[in-house]
Amino acid sequence: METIINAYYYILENNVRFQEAVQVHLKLSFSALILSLIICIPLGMICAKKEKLSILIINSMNSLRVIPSLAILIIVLPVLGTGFLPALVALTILACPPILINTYLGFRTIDHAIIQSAWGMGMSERQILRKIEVPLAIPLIIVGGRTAAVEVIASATLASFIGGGGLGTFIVNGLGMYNFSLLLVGAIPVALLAVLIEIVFTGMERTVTGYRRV
Amino acid sequence: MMEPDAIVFDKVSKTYTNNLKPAVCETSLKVKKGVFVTVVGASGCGKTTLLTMINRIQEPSTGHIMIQGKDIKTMPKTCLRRQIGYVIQQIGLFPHMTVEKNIAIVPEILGWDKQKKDRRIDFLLELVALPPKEFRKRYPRQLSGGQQQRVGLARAMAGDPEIMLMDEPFGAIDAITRLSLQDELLCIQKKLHKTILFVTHDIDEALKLGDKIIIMNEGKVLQYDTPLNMILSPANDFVRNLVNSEDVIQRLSLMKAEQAMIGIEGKIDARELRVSSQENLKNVLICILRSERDSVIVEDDSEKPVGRIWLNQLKMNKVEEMALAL
Repeated sequence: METIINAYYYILENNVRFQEAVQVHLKLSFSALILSLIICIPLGMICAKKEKLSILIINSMNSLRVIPSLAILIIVLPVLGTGFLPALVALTILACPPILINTYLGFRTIDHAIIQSAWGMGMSERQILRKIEVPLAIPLIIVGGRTAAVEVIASATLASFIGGGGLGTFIVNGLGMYNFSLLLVGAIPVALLAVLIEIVFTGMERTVTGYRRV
Repeated sequence: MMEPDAIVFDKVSKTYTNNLKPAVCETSLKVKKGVFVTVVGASGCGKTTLLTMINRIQEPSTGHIMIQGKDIKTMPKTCLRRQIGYVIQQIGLFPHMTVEKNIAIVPEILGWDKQKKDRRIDFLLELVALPPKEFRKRYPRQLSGGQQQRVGLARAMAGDPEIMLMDEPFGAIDAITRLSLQDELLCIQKKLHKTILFVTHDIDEALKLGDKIIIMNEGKVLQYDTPLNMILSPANDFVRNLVNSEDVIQRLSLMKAEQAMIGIEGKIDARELRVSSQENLKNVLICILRSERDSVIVEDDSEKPVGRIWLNQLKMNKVEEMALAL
């Protein structure tokens, strides 16, 4: 209990440092998430349409998943050096697989009869995409985004190992100085952020799948 | 000038890539406007391929298809398909849209205003016996299979197409619901006079619904004729077996009361049973067997007596004579 109270006092005393760390953490996480959404949603859509390409891309994405997050951070270190950019690259790579795979599945699991009747009605490819495929695929894409977001927020703590800043700094320092209060200054907000983002994404998913619960 | 046929197949064949045998062998046939044609055959006989070549979901390997006198290759696919209603066995309603939105898709593409769309949705839902007030705002998963296919039918007719293509639409629906859907489809056809091509593997369904029937086997059209001609003069053994042409009751069920009746001689007894002139002879026979007398009175739509049918007239040789005279 005392450690938690001490952590609270630490935040009060170092308010500026703490806020800055939270900002960097969020900036890092959201940039990585948005980047991976921009890359992976179109890629997933292409994969869903092109069977041969999908095997290659999905499999290489799956093998990316096997590499631990810390390892990715260390791998990009010699190429991009230290700081914000390498941390961003590493987190983006981390966020990609769940988004890509869920986008692919979101489009692939649409019942073929639905697409066939859309053709039969004389809808153009674009109309089918906009009115049918995207709305039907979006729930799964959001679920992928949720997994990626939670993963990214948690893993962004590791960025401090390569000088990326963020809440991880407190954890790394806390560990190094054997100061558990300091460790909690980083750990508790990260956990809260992860839970919060999970709630936001779940809410989004429920909104777009209202028709399944009527 | 004569009105062009609704659908014309001119030496059309289809061979799928990687297949040696054609799915549909060279076929030429014409479907007149407003005629209900059923296509029947075993699965894999090419009947669905024949159908889907009309809305260019499949492209023919050779030959031309014309609808209303125009070669379908000269039209953009989307444009062609908006003129053709398409109903499939799996229904394919859009699960994320309400019934009204499902039906409104084609009117929206065609750029109708809201009022016109609303009226059309109400009209179509009434037509398929789903009260609009109750059903407009429902989602597909809140409907039974039969109700879903009714919406599928309404949706296919949304843009008021001249031609309807139906690919085993009642195939996945329970037998009781199927019978009532068949009756309603006939009723709708009486009102709207669409040109319908209806694929089925059920010969009874084909005989009941079709003004004309196409019987297919192994990619070939074996016979294209009216149900009655099909039974009286089947083109070969396959057709003979399929339509069960020796079945007397089957023959009776394909003829109407007005075709068999004779003039009324003498007084009409108030106790005599009455049948509609559109009733088929099988039901007329049942009616006579149930009644105390040997005849029934035939009446027209306004319930005016127009003729009489005696039990004697339903004998096999008489029916055959009659059919040949038609």
